[in-house]
Amino acid sequence: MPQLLMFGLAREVSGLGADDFGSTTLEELLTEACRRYPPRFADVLAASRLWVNGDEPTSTSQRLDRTDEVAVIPPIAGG
Amino acid sequence: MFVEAEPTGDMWCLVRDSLPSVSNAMSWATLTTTGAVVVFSGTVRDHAPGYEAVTAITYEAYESEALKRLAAIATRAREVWIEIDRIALWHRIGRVALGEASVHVVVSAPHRGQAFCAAEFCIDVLKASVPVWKLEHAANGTGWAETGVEAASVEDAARRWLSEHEGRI
Repeated sequence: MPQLLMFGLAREVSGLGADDFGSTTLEELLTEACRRYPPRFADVLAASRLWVNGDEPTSTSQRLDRTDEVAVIPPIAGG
Repeated sequence: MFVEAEPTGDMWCLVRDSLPSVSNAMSWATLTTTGAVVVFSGTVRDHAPGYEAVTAITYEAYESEALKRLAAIATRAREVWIEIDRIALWHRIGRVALGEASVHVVVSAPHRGQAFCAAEFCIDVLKASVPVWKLEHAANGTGWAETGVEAASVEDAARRWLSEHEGRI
């Protein structure tokens, strides 16, 4: 099943670095994530990029495979 | 036992909680064709927007993607500055104390102009595209850096950098 990875503030708010979902589309997964985690997660999500297997998805209706890795990428601050 | 990750050809990319000494990268980068080795080290400083008396920063990364992106940045730099000898891009993760380095960029080339330019390209594109986060530990509290930027793709960040520095290449 698709896995959701969460970093930085997203990890802090959800309380998890990774979580499994039974969703078949990106949209379904995000809706379910907002239901599972505290309300603030939706705000963090709105201010973050989403990647599927390291790339930006073309749309939220994108279908997810059971091996897909979805990541919540809050604003980055490397270096 | 601590095993050093080996360089891949003329690139040496690392994302890990303990980095080798940067002098290892400098020796590795110095070939017989090399006339210039540029080293950039980013270090933890005592202040940041919203944080005073910073004592350390904890770096978090999406490790697999960060490593892929470092390699993509080095590859792109080699395409632009074709005479480059070697590139090392190392990012430390975990808790990094005040004054310690969190990132090293080492570029060697026959001439300094290319080495300086490519090193600046690498650190700027890294900051715009590599998935790393900073948790600041300061006298007035602990929190995520306020200076984050929306993550761009390596391709987009590189294109933007090259167009902004057109006259220098």
